[in-house]
Amino acid sequence: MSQPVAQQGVDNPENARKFKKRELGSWTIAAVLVSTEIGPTILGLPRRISTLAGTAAPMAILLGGLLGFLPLLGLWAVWRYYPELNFFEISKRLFGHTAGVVFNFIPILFYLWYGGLVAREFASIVVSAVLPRTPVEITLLVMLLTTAIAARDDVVGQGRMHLFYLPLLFLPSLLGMLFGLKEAHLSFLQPFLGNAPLRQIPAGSWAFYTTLRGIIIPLIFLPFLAKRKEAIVGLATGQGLVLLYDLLLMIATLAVFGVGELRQLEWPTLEYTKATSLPGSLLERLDSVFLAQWVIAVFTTLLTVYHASAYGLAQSFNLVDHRPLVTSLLPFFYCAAMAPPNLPILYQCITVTNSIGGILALLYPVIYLAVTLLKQRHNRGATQPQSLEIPYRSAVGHDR
Amino acid sequence: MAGQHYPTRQSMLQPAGSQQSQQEARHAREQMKTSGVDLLDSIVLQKIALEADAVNRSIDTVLAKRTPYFAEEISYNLRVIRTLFGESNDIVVRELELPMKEPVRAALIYLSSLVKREDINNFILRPLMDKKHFPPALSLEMLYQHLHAHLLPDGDFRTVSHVAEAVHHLLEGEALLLVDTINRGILIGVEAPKGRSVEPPNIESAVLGPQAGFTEQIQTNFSLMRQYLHSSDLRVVTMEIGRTALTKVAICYIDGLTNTDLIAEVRRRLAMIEIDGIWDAGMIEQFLEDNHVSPFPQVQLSERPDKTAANLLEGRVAVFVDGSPFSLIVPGVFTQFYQASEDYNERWPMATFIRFSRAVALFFSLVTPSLYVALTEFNQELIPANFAVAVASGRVGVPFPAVIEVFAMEVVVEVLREATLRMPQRLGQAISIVGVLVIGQSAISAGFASPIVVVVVALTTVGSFAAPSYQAAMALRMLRFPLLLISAIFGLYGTMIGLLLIFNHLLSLKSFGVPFLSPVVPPHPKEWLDTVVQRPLWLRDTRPKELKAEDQKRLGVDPATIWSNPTNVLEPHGYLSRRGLKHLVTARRATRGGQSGERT
Repeated sequence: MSQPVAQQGVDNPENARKFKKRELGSWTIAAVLVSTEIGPTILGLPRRISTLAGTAAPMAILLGGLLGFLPLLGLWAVWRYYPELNFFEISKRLFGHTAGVVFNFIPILFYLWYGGLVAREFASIVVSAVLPRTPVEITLLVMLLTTAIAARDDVVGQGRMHLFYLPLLFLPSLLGMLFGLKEAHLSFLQPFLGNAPLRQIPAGSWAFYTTLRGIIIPLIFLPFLAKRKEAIVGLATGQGLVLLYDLLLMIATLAVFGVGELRQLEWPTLEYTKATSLPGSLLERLDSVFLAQWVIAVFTTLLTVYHASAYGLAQSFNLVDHRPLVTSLLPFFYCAAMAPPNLPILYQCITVTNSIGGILALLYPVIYLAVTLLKQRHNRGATQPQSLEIPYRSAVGHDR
Repeated sequence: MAGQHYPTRQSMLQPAGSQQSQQEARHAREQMKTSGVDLLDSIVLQKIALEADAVNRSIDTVLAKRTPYFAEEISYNLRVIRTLFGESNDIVVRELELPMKEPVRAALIYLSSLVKREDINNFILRPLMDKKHFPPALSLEMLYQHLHAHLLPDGDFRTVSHVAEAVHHLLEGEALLLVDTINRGILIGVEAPKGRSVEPPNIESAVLGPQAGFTEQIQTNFSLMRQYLHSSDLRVVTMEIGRTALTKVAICYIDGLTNTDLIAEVRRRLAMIEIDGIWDAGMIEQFLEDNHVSPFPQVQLSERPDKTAANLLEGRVAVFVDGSPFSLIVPGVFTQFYQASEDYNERWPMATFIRFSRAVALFFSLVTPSLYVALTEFNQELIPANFAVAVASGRVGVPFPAVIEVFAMEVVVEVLREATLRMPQRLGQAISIVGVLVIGQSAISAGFASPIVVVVVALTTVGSFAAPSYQAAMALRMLRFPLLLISAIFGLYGTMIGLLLIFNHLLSLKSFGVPFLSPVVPPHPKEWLDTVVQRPLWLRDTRPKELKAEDQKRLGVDPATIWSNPTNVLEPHGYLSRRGLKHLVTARRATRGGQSGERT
């Protein structure tokens, strides 16, 4: 008797790592990137950037976003040499097992800490804006539990979730920005380059660049792409959408409030939605509606981070399934979230964490690319960047 | 079935108990053992052994040797049959003598509850008892041939050598004729038509479209499927499931179109079922579905043959169960919840409009109560000022928080709904009117609920009734209670978390590997036109991609030709599109060319 079919194919957990179901498309990669980078930071983002860059904030965001694309490009170039592998496998391939695990652990620990801060930030906002009598621990735990349940799904399933929530993340916010524009003053935006371009724009750009977290996460999804050529398209689309979103948000808030008032507001985006109203006075105020909608944004950000850390740990320890780790990571996220005792310290933590993340995001691609190129030079002629041809496609269709 | 044991002339000529017939019997037994096809036989065999054990030890020796074959002695055969059926009163053993030169003993055996008595009398007993049908020259050796060729007018005429098989057919309503000196039983199909005639479907009623629904008779359902799909490629594969009682279950698909892996998987899942008895499609569904804890149905139940046929043409597989007026259609996806078969019979703008309203109704049935609680208890600032006054004045005097109010009313409505279903039909109508009028009105005047809550509850209930799929409506009705609870704790934030949990579940759910939310996610943009929107039929040129049908093409023509086809034949000088004009000119040229050809 030959082996049963189920034992040979993808269903067999032993083969699961060899056979990556190549079903995703470029839009999924874009959605993952958008999900990661549009999170609770958007609530305070206009204040932070405009404090540093003044009226040059939109320009700073534009430049920061372009800067943020460089690390992505770097890691994408590394991945092109190992298109079958995800980030965690690539680092083991490049540095050997032990060093590779160490290289994996730095971003995993970072994500554990960062995910906790993200969850805490949003939970605090919810408590102070709509649920003043609920303890912050409870709202936090609800959010973490929701994410933990979703993070159990496999990589393709994660990609589908992000793709599904992409329009829900984007369209209501864009509409909201439009509805609030009746209060806008064009003069608040000028001068476009700020009062001291050389000082303000780099500071603002760096501040914006550090809020971008999606450097490694797309590399978990890239091996599952149906067409490898679409990887760079997906990354560029995702980064473009993030940039568009943040740029529009910055311009809208700046045009409505102006630099002076923006500095006074803790969460300018939330204040902005208070200024909007639906035509036909269907609802009196919209801030709670947008807060509810931002639950999606926070959820998707948290989901990418949560899944990445669990998946990364599983990959580092050669585990077939990341699901048992998902549940056991919950206390770590909770502790990280509850570590900062109050909001000001939380925001200091976030700023420091962001800076560390920004530096790591510059260092990692440089190191990885250098080692990859050295290795390639060492075995010159043996391996070129692997062919971008498609050895396997699902029988009929694949995701976008 | 073991159909290979037809008696040959040679075997008929052999005297009883001869060496050759023993050899043949042994050969047949070995074949049965080695082929492994006759799983059914072995099951029935076991059953026979067990029952015989309990009832009568005297034929123990026979069964211990595992030889439940018909012998040539009729008295022995009758004893075996009588032992198997025990004290059942509906088994009729009518003994008679065939009027030959030397009368031959025979017996007709049937279950009186399953056969048509006139057929037994007219087509079996009458010819067998009439002396003029037996020519004096008829020898014993030719008796079987004579019966087969001249006496028994039955298209299904078959012989069995195996008792187990004969019993199985007896239970299906056939009659068994045993004749002394013939070591086989003769089966004659005289089943009485069971069940009701084809009636309009009860649950999935449609305004436009066919008014035929499946019945409890699996054969009737097959004939309905054959009527809606005139194709030799339509495959109906039956199998029997059950340990104590066997039930006929059939897989229906279109050969060369349906994905072969899907068919194999359905077969595998069906073959794994071992249960004492099955009498409804819903029982098979519980074995077929992928996720056993999900509130959402992953298998579609339908009582409409047209809907089933359309689904088969999309590349799905249908499962029928004898005794159930429903077909199970797999794999199921979410979009089917708000789609009705009649959408495809209607013109697309209307169908789109109706689908939209259905989707909205489904959404309402899920979220309205929780939105009400979230807005009144937590986020009052969202309610427009004028309306807030009305809400507040309505709630004056209501002693409970909004969540208790809504929860109580929802429970009342669920109880009413169930009561209306369970009551005899005429009482049911009365109680629904009494329930709605009296309870709603008196709850308000008693200060128990505010008028808006009654509106909210009504919206929920009516919304859930608008769904074409009864199962889906049930799922959403059930989910509104947990959603209500979490909204009562966390307000809008809770509603959102609840919806996220539901959507995440839907996103991870799969039916036979087809993502439950497809074609929305994973996206097949071409099929987005067949979700809430309904595209015209001539634009549906491929089958749903996620079903991975072997043959993707649906339409034989290019949609563009249909789009440009209309030609104003009755107003030839009116406005013509460029394409239409071209069409007309070529048509005229063709006719003129023909005429000129005639002239010369």
